[in-house]
Amino acid sequence: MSTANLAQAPRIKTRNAMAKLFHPGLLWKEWRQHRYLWILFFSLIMLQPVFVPLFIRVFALPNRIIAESGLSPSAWVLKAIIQNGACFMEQTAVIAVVLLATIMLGAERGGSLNYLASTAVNRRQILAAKWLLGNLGILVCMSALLLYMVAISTINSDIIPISQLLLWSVRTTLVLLALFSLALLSACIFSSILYSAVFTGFFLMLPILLTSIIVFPLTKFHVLTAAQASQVNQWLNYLNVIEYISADSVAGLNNTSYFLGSMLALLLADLLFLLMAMRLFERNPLERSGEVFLSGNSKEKGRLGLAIFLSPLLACNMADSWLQFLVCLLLLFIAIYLGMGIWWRLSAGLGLGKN
Amino acid sequence: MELALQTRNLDKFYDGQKALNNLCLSVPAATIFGLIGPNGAGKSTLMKILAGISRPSSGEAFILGRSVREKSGSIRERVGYVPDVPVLYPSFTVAEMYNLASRLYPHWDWERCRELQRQYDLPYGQRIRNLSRGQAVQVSLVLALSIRPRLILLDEPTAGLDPVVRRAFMQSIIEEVAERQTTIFYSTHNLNDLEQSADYIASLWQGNLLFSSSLDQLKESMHKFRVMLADDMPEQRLTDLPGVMESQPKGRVYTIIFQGDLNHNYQKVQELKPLLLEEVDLSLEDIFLILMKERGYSYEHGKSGPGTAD
Repeated sequence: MSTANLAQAPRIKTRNAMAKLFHPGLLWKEWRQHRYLWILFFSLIMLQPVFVPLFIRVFALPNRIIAESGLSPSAWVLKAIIQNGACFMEQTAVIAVVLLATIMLGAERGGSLNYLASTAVNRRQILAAKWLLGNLGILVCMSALLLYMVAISTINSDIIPISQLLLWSVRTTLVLLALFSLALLSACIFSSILYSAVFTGFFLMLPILLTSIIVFPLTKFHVLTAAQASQVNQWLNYLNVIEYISADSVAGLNNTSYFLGSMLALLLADLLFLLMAMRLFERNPLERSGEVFLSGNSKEKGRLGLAIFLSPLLACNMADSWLQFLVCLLLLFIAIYLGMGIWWRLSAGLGLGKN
Repeated sequence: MELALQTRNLDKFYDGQKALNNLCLSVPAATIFGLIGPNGAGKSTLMKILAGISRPSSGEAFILGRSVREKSGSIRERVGYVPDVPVLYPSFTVAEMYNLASRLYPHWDWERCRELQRQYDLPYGQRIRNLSRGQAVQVSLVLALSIRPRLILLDEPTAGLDPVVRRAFMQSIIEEVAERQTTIFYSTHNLNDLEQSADYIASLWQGNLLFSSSLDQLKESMHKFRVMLADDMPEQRLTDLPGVMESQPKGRVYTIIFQGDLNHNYQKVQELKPLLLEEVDLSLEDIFLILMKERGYSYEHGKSGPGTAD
């Protein structure tokens, strides 16, 4: 084999692996099955930048703030989206993406997933098709939005530089991609669309919860100084996907190293969540709801998790010294853990719960 | 003998409860193999494992020589699956379902699909959600037969179908085996269908394999006689004969089911000098009911079983 062929071998191998992973038939099925959801998603993200200014224009609604700015409604909304961060459009897109991902897998739990699992495709391919269509859908929708924004900015004498529009678009797209993968991962664990969406929210809140659990007691009992606590908070915030579209991070658009680093992290998160989702989905027994595969007893893990999260927070509020804190922590942990067990037994006995 | 399907010490647990217990089963290629058993016996569990929907807890299962634990989808390229309630994609039309399957299976046969479509006269442009149960089962069968299958797994697909549709369904299955040497692994409660078509029968009971044999062997292993005893002959002489599995009196006429050799049993009854002795056809349903009754599962005794697996 020549040197050129040798150099090409890994590339060909990767291309083959990718071709095996992304099944065209499944991609067709995903588009055919969910195309209306994607049209809805596109309409939702266009709501603020396109439909709101259109509404103001068509009905000639008086708006003092827009009038005082001297900008057209489209330009004013565009400026608000780019410069404020965590705007309505971004919040809508975040919720829509989470719901989209959970619906794309959750809707199959009615039985069609059994059909798919019994065909000549493997589970990795099933999940990869959903991920790829989701990622492509987000990319297409966000590219269309970017084109619209560039057009509006150009018409309004470049009120926002194209480079800034581009950076905003890249950042928001990557956040949505990572969120989509995270929600898909949740949907691999839970059979219910609602549970999957709630779990995605919980996972997003996890860094904030961790911050509270770790930093709050350490600061209260003077193990960490305020400056150190703030530093830890900042580090944990980097783990929060939503944080990248917050008002604070708008400033980060101009910081090249921060921007590149965070975008790389989001891209890696997107891929990492996909790999985790594929791994879980392969092990998932489809004949029962997905909760079973995690542990065999998700309720048990749930109450353990709740006791771990709640007891340090409550103990920290109640205690005045380290010793008190540790005693309270232990007692509260036991109380929450046992209390939830007793509540479940009681509610089951009274016929309040499912079991 | 070439095997289309084999399980070795296959176990499946659901929440600590055993749905399949150390199951060892061999299904010869190009045959119709019937799987029977009461509700909760583990039939659907086994089907789902073979179809790739469930994973075995332990043990092995092979379809067309390949382990069901293989992650590749190619293992199911020539395996069709028709479940009891085909869900498919409710928003898809029948044509779109065919289109999807043609994209998922490399050996998809459009000619065969069109032929079956014509035969069943299915509404091509109708959405799956608007089909009757019978039509949905037929679509599912068209999908399974159009992949040029070497093995078809049928999980009680004819339950609830009208006799005309059921007959057409069975006809397609029998033709498939006769013309294409396809193996059919067929789980059903309809023993009449099996009796007319199956080469082999296996029965599951509480996740265990009760028996597995050819239908002919199974029917040769038991015999049913109608016997009329003379007035002076006590009934107990008949019912106490070795090998008697069941005895149903109707006046002085007894319907007796024996296990074992036909001639030997016939001779033993003849020694009682009956006024009437004739062999009666023993149906698969009779055999199934006797075997279940032996294990305490009958109308008189009330059923006993896990009742969860199926």
